[in-house]
Amino acid sequence: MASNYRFTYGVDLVFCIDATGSMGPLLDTVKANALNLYRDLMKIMDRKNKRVEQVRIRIIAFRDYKYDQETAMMVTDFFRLPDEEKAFEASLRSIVPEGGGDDPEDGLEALAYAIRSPWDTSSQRKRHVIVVWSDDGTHRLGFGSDAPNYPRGMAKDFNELTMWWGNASAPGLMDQNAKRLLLFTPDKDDWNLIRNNWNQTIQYVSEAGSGLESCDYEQIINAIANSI
Amino acid sequence: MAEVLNGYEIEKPFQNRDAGFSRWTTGRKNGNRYFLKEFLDPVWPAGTGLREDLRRDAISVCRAYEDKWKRIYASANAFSDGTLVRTEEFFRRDSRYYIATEYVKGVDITIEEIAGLPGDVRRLLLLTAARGIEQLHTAGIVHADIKFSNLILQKTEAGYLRARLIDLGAAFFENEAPAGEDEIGGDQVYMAPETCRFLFGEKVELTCAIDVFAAGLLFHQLYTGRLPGFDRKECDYPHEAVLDGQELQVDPDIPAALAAVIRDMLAGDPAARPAMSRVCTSVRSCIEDLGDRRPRPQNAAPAFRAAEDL
Repeated sequence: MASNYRFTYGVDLVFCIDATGSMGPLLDTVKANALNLYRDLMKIMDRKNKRVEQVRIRIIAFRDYKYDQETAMMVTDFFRLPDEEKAFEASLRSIVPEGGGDDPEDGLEALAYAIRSPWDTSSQRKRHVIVVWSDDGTHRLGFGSDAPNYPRGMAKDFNELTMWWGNASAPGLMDQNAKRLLLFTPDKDDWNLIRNNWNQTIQYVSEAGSGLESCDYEQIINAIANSI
Repeated sequence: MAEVLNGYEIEKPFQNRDAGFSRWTTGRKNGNRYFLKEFLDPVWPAGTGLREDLRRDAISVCRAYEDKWKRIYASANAFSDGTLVRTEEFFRRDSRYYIATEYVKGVDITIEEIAGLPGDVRRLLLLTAARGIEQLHTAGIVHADIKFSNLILQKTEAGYLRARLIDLGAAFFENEAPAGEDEIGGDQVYMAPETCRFLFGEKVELTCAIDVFAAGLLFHQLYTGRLPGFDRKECDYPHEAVLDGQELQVDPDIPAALAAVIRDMLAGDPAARPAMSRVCTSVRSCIEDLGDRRPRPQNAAPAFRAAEDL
């Protein structure tokens, strides 16, 4: 008989990927890393004699509501790996770097979607990780609200988004113990504001036009594997 | 020019290798070298950009955090003779909190390699590891993350290995244990049965005994290179086996007196586990009975020791 106290560990990952034209050179590396992540994570868990019952990954490809309209925010449901690996891979490979209009993108809206993901609540131990890759700054929330497909119910400003993220005294919309945020973003206003005000967040500064280094991938793997 | 953080000259950028969701580096201050760790929770709301009520709320979280950790570091330091690595400074810079501890260069050795060392080296290693945990418990603090990677091993002048305990990141005062839905930190491989029951929502007390259980597993690993035996077809972790009614099997190659201590440390009932002070006494007796502590040649590798009587 298996133990009645066999706790389950669930890992949910949401990848927010800037899919605008300038991300061209970077996007292939992001895709490759995202595809390798599940297998590499499982290898590490095996080496550490640790068990993870469930790994799910969701993709949010973001651009700019004002300029890209219906392709501004493309989201998937969570893919359960390894069962849905093929569908996950196909979705990831389908992201094409295009559009974006001006320099800043609607990264904060993408983050809002990520925070409101249907996170796993059934596992006894959980890790909920959002990873954002972008080579540019963000518009203020609501910049593209004139677009017909701009979402209803979006956080109206950075303060509301901060409340959604929460902290120890005002828990927000995510599990405060499970949540983690990794930013691979430039040294620009709102990304820095997040780094300086949100808990459980690491920012690695990315430079526009430069590639994603292998050390960045190691940081993601470390952040996930060593906190399980 | 090197970045300076609270007077520490940073030697390389902060990174999270082997650290999960915190970042670390090394730095120098007043001619000494330190290990610096950056915490990612809580965050002091630095600069402008947040509404005043959100700022106030975040600051109150930070104040409570500072209060808890200043007390933990001060208490741990007060009871440490160095076996538990001292926290030299706890400070905030801009939005983040940091600690500086003495930089301790460890020996690069795996748990399997340790298991291949002479018995007296292993037993003295267990004693020093036990001492670090005992010091913390004397201060009323539960470490809550006892595992191999939280020991730094140093070679002594006599050629033995000494363990120094690090990382109070999951620690709590025994009389302020996590309650309700708070998540307890720590590694599931070394999890005590009562911690698992706590995660299942049962009302159980989390005490220093969770460290004793973890130390029992660790001692078994250090001595044999393996965790104690249990039915791996049914269970993945020792605590699951214990909760399933199995007795963890202590390796017969461990000397009887030491095996008895480890067996007691692995008791399913936390109240039946010995205090770490008793563990230290028992390991010390075992060392004396077996005639350990023979001098080792200076600079000998840990695997060597002075030849015993024929």
